[in-house]
Amino acid sequence: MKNDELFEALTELDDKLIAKAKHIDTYGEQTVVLRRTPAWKIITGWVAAAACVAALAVGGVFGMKYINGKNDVVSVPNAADTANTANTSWAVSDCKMYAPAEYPEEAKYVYSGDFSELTKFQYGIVDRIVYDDLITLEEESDLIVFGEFVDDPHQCTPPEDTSYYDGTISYSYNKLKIDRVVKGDRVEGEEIIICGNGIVHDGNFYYLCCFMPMIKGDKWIYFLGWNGEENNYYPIGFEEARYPVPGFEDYALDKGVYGGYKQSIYEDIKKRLPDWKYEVYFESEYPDNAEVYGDYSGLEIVVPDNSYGEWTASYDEMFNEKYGCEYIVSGEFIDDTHQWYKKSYGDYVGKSYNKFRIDKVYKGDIEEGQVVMIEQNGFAADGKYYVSDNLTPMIKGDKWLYCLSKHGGICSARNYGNGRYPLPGSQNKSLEFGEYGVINSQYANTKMYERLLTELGITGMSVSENFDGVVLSVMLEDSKFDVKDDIRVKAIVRNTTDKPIGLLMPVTGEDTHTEITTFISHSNLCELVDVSAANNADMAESSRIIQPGEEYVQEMTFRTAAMVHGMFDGTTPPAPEIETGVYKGTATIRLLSDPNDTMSEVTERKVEFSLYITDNSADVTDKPKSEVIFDQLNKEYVLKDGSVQFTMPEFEGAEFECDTSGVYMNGEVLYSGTPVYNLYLCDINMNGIRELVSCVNTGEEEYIKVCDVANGKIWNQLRDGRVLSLDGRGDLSIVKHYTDDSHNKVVYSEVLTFLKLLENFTLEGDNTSVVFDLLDEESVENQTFRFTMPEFEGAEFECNLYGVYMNGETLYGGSFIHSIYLSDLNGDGKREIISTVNYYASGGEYGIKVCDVANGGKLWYLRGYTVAWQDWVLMAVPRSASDHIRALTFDLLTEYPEPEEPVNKPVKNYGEFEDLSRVQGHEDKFRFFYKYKNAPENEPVYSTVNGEVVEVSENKWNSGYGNYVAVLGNDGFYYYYSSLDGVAAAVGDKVTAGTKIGTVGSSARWYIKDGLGVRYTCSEDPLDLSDAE
Amino acid sequence: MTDREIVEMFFDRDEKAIKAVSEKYTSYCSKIAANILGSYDEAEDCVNEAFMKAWESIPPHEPELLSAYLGKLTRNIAINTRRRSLAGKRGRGDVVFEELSELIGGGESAEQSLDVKALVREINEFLYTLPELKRNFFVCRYWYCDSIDEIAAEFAVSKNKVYITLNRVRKSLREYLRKRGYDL
Repeated sequence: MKNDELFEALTELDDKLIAKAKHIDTYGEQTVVLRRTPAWKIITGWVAAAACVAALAVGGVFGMKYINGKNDVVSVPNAADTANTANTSWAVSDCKMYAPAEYPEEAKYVYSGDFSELTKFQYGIVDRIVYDDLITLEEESDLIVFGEFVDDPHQCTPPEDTSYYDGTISYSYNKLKIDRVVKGDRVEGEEIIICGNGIVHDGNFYYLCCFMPMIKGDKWIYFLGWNGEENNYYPIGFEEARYPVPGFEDYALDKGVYGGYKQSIYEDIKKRLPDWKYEVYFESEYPDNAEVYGDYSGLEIVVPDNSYGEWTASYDEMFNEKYGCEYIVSGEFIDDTHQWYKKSYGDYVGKSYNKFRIDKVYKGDIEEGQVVMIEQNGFAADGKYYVSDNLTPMIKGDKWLYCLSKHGGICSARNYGNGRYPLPGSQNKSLEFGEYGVINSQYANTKMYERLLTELGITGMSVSENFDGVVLSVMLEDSKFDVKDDIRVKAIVRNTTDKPIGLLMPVTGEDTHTEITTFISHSNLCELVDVSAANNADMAESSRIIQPGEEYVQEMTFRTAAMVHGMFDGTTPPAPEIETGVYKGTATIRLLSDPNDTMSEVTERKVEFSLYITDNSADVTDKPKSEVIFDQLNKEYVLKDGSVQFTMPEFEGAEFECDTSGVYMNGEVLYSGTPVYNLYLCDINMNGIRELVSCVNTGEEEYIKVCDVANGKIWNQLRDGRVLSLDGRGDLSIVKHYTDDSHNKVVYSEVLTFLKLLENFTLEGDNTSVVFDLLDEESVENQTFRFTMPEFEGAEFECNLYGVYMNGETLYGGSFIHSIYLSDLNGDGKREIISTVNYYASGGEYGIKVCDVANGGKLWYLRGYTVAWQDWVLMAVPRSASDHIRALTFDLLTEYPEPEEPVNKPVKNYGEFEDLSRVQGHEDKFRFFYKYKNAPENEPVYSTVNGEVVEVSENKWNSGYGNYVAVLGNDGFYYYYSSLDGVAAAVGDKVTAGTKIGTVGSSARWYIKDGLGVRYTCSEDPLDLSDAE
Repeated sequence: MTDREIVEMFFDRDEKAIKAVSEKYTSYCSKIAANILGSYDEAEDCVNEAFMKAWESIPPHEPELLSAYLGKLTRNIAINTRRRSLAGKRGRGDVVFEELSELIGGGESAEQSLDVKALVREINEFLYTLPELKRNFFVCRYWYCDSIDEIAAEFAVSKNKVYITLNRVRKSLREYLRKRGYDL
């Protein structure tokens, strides 16, 4: 079957599918397709409400009913009447409420079904007042309540004909029990009736604008106004009038419609919850479909494609009150994980949950001891652990430092690998799956972790367990050590019982500590050795007795230099291959049931701990430190001698110079100013190479300039009177001094992080840039992008989803081009054009194409990867989970074979030759694709190869190829000669190069201007050109 | 005028039915045709032909959903028009064809005569297994030939969501059909 045949076959899809995909209605005379969310917002004042109501008569009218406080029904006049009334002090909406809580007589039909199965139809055009902020909403509201629907909706009779709505819809009612009154005269526990314009009928839910159905158990926050004349309440605005109680955002959304409430106001509401004395809701129950899973040992890790989370959040951002995570806490998982998973479109999807007890709070309004539910994208199935954000499993007993975000009642690690770190000294059973709790640990932000530990005072570590009054503890100075460090371990046994205890020490004569047997080893069995044992040989009796209230302390020193694989040799040089990474330790005691009898029953007790060993020897002396070269704005660093010469170890051999007119590298200007106020060196983008940062006056404006010498980039931001400042930690801050309205001197300081650089600075000059990238959600369909590249003077480039063109000539095409970037990959000073493309001929495989424009447009490719842009570096992202993301460099690429036109041409006489080998996916399917055009009438077409005729077709469309002859060459390739007028060969004919097989024609989908000719293609596989009967 | 009233006019052989259907559905049908043919000029003839075919076929046919019936007539005519056109003007349909080619891998079914009706039944069934939104995306894209932009705007979602959803639905449909013996 061909694709156009399938397209045609789809005409016969089910009528209901076709009709329901578009909501068609009639306004005026013409049928129009309605949008599913209101696309109109008209801000009006109360005074203009009359005009709005009058407009309703034209746009789409619906009647309203008001029910006053005494349970009398009052009919609201229709729009035509309303235009004449003075009662325009209310916004048109669908919700009303009254007391006492009785359903109207006409609300006879109770809908108890599932709203998720219903097809939703929205209708109605309204002009109304729109609220944009919470403050106004609060001021305008007479009643603000939190409540829960305690009933199934009671509906009035649906209209007879629901195939066509002009706005006259029926009503449904539900009881809302007030849980909390924020403002107004109602009381908690009171039940009130809410009326909505929305009913269920015949498998459909018909509703006004974007309101959700009123579902039993759903909880909402309502903003209501009091209509004194009618003695009732009405909602303020439409989607501004109600919001889900935090924790219930998804309750109705899963069952509801596409809109609902204004997100911006909702975010502000959540911040007001403490003021409203509303207790923040934390989920305490696992989802109904989640099942316990406990054993993660031996699982194979499966990471789906494009697990590409946000790794660059900084420490400052995490702590930012407005934009940072909500909680920074440490604690422990107190349960086995509960997980669910299912197949969705052939892929596994699922989540896991675990209860986490908070032991210490560093940020956020939450109590120590509080248990929160943490949710994570990861689950175990069929012997594998599937993750999509690279986090290790959540295992009972593991202790973590979490930067948590909260969604409803559920918490999750903020920014994936930046959101969770192992608590030093804890058991961290999940660390066997990855360091820092991240499976693909190359993305873990270790600087964040180190700073968190330092800033929060989580240094050193201890592990302790109480075994019925016998407390066994292990204490380390730190959690992280260098390979050269001595790792001092203190193990303590404390007897808090009222009887003596005995620790068995086997009488072996060995010079080792055995009261508290302590091992520290790497996962591959490399074991650290206690080098202090030889000096502290304990030749004590067979058991050590500890009296009540006393303790035994054992101090040990482990050293990686003495580490061997299973054998201790205290005299030879350090063992090779010292392992870095996570080490697990155990400290074991053997308690005698009778402290005085070494033959009595022994009970083993142990604690586990972990630590990290890193190898910082490579960069200890080379680690760049921030420094100030000069600062005319700071009297401590004023230039004394006119200029400064300096070097930077990261740029070996380079000589730098600076003064107040510029900064120079090897005599070349990096940047200049009138003046350059200062110069700081600081590694902002954390690539180990410092950038040059200055405040600069350009003569027109003043900027803060960041010069990334390593990457040849310069960033600018308006200076706005700010200065630079270096703190003791080496962070560079941008500081502003000003006086506020109360004449207080204020200093505003913000550390210049890489993310701040990306967000607030603009990049100068021609560097890697993106033309378009579908993954950035840019609208590109049917768009052609035009651009120039200064390195190719005078050239005009164009690109769209299907091809890239230079001065009208095709550089390359693709079945679907997902993105186009410009970057100098091969370092020749001229950028290449880089794309992610789809290869339809390969079953939808992705790949990267690189066009080296400077080198004759040579094409290079890398199959199985897509391009992404992270931290201003183009990355090659593998489609295979078993591969690693890496920087896109030229050595990864393979040169595309040039199309080779055979020596033999299919025609001798022709007017024009066109090479379409690289257009619109041709290069995926064809070795070459040529057209010989404007040939004389009856010009013969010859086979160009020796082979056999395998296909002949005449008088058919043949997918636009027209009449054709296909020859299977002796070389194994298929040669198609199409657009013929007549064929002169039959299937099975043996041909040689030069055998006549037809005459030129225009039977193909051929432009008139191309005249007669032949389309000549070569492919590895036969083409399917047959038309369906 | 309701669809029911229009169909009644067809049954009464009241020629005002064509005027009524034209007034109500010209815009709707024109879009379907224009998406396939690439221009509203060419679409106009298709739509007129579709309305005439409706006049010829109602009665005896009594469409349950007039919009879908007219849409199908229009679509079929537009496809045939496109096929006949040698100018090969590129309409939205060409882009959609290329996406649908993902479902076609040159499998064995390509060689055999296919029960197209059975295939469409399978596709209908598959679509009904999908959540409503994904189903609507598919129909809007491969039946109506709407652009990604249009679908995103109509459903108030991001274009990326539409694009990725369609990718996944195509992949799932292919797998669904393959399991049922359709190796397209």
